[in-house]
Parts: sequence; structure tokens; C-alpha cells
Amino acid sequence: MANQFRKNRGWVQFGVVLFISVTLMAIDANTSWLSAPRNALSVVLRPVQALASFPSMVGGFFSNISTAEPDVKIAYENLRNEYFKLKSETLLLRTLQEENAGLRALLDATERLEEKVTLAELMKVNLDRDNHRVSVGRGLNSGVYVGQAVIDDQGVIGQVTEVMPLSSIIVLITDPSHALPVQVERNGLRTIVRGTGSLSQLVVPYLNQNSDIREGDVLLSSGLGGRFPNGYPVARVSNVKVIEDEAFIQVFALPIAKLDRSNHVLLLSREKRVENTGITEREVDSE
Amino acid sequence: MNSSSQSSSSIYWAFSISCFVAFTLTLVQVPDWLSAFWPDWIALVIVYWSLLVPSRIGPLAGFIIGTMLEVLFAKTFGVLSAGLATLAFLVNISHLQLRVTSRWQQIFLVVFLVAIYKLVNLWFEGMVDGAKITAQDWLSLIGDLMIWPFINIVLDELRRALKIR
Repeated sequence: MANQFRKNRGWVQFGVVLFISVTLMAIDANTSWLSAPRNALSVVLRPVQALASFPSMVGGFFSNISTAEPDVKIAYENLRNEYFKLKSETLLLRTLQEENAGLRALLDATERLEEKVTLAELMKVNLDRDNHRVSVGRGLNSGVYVGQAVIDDQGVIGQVTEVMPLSSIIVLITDPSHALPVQVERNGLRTIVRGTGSLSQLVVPYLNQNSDIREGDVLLSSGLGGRFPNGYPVARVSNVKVIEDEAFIQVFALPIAKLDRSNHVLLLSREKRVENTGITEREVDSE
Repeated sequence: MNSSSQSSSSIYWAFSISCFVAFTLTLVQVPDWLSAFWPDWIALVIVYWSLLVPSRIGPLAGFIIGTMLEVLFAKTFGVLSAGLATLAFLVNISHLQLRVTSRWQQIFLVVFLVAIYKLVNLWFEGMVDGAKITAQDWLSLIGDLMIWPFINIVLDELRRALKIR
């Protein structure tokens, strides 16, 4: 009889405990209501955990000693840390290298010039169809003025149209409202180049049927009008179309400057440089 | 009467201590190849005590120990406790059969019961966390198989030292 009762009690106990477990499971899996009791219990059980993990800590200590010489282990750890640090620095270095190459090219470009130059970094590029403008991080504080010519290491980019205290806006040579006087490098033919609103196309208008211009001709800035310096590459003629009975021929040209790729540009000022290289270098350093 | 209550409290002491040691052994860091075979120490301890004193160590004890382990291992409440309660209950109801079998048969029966515990455990875990049961989960049964006789011997010694009948 007593045995029977005990057996039944076991069943009841098991049933109740299983029910509680499943309830707890359902609550804990779907809500966070049990996190407070869990935290309380974990505080109570913290000593148990600390005491229980002590042997495994000691074991870890001994296995460290037995598996490797401590010095070697430390050296290995250090080398590994160093490795990861250097690896991350290498990644940084690669971008720095590219930037450096670009800056060097720009410096070379300035060697050819007699003008004072200011290095500027692009801040914002705004290229909708009728408005090819970029902002650079140089303004009144660097002595930028309206009408300054802007170049990169390859060729002419545009000119400054608006100067703000800390930045200025440059209109690109591809802007439809922009035109600049040029000369054909091969024969000195004077003409102008106008923007079309496309980054890869300039148009050379008003050339008549017997003008001497061909595909591949390089157009240099002529220095007329006094805005752009003389002899700086602007564009390369890409297409010459002769249409019968038309007064002018259609000439298209490709900008030489990396209009959509350079991150740094040079602002040229008309005043002569005081020293040959000193100012340039200082400007580059401060960038 | 007095000796009975004395015995009862020493049972609970012995049970707590052996569970604590089992927990410690669970935490020990072992090489990777061994960790899969690392026995389910706590389950074996529960089996031992619920087989020895089924009137005292049963589903409730399994539930309490399981709940503590859930806190210590940061598992969902109810997963381990349901498994351990089931294990204790199964051993309780079959303790007479388990006692009369030979040592060798007992080993396999115990491992079979621990396998049921693991099944319940993994089943609930899969329901709660979406964990899948893999073949690797069953390798610890081999460790249980090998370690059970030694646990039996060690806990028998403890029992004798504490004069638990």
C-alpha cells in the first residue's frame, strides 16, 4: 500500500515538474519575463560557479605550461598581434600610396607652371545635365577669387565661379554654359571649346569647311581672355564631321583632364610665384 | 527516527556535493577530440542517487538541479530541468529492475536511460532554439559507458563515508 502510494507520488511529482518545465520553457523562449529571476539566481549561484571553475582554471594554467614554453607562447601571441596590426596598416598604406602618387603627379604638373598654385580637395560634385559644378575646400581664406583657372595633373578642369569663406564652386569645362579659348597644338589654329553637358564631350563650334583640324589634334588653352594660362591641354579632338551645304563643320573633342576622377585640383592665380617651389610645397603640406 | 532524519540530511549533502563535483567536471577544459566524448557527469550523478534513494531523489531534485544548470549555462529555462526530471523519474520507477541486474547489464541500462535524457533534452532544445540533433551529440554516451562504473565506485565510497544506507 505504502509502495503503491509512493509510486503514485512519483508519477504526480514527475507530471507536475514536467508541466512546470514546459511552461517555463514556453515563457522563457518567447518573453523576457524570466530574466529578472534568472539574474537573481545567477547572483546566488555565482560562488558555485567561481568555485567550480577554479580547477579548470588551474588545469588551463598547467596545460599552458606543459604544452608550450611560456616565452614561445608569449612571443607567438605578440607576433600574432603585431601581424594583425601590420596587416591593417598595410591596407591603409595602399590607399596612402595611391594618394601620394596622385599628389606627386599634381606636383609635377605645377613644375611646368609659373603661376602660384593652391591645392584643393573636392568636397562635393554636382553633375546634372545643365550644371557641371564641383565644390572645393578652399575659399576666401586661401585667397581664391572668381575667374581662377582650375587644373589637374592632366589638363584644364574649369574655373572658379563663386567664392565662399571656406569653399568655392568651380564650373567644369563641360558645363553647357562654359566656353574657353583654345589653340590647336599642331598648327596654332585659334578657336573656342564649349561644354555640352556630357562629361565625355566638348564641342568646337564655328570652324568652317576649310579649317585645318583632324581627329587626334590636341587643343591647348590659348591664354586669350586672360583667364586660363597659355599652353595647357584642354581636349583632344575625337570626331570631325563635315556636312555638305553647312557653313560650319561639327567638331567634337574629349576632355583631357580627369574631370570625374581627380580628388585634388590646383587653383592657378595670375600673380607670379615668389619662389619656385617653396610655396607649392607649403600648400601641399597644409592640405 | 533521529537516525533517519540524520541520514536524510546527509543524503542531501552528499547529493549536493556530488552534483557540484559533477558540475566542476563538466566545466573542465578538455582537448577537442575528447570534448565530444566527455561524459554527462550530472546526468550520471542523478542516476546514481535516484537509483540509490528513489524516495528522496526524484523528479523534483532533477528539476531543481536542472534549473540551476540552466542559470549557470545560460540556457532556456526548462530544457535541462525537464530532461533531468525525466531521467530521475525513469530511474525511480525502474530502480528495482536496475538493482537486480548484473553490473554489466546495469551499465548498458544506465546508458540507455541517459540516452533518453539526452533525447528529451535535445528535443526540447530543438523546439526552443531550433538546434538540430547531430551524430556528435550521441558520442558522449560512449564516455558515459566508460565512466559509469567509476562513478559508481567513487559515490559508493562517499556513501559509505557518510554512512548512508
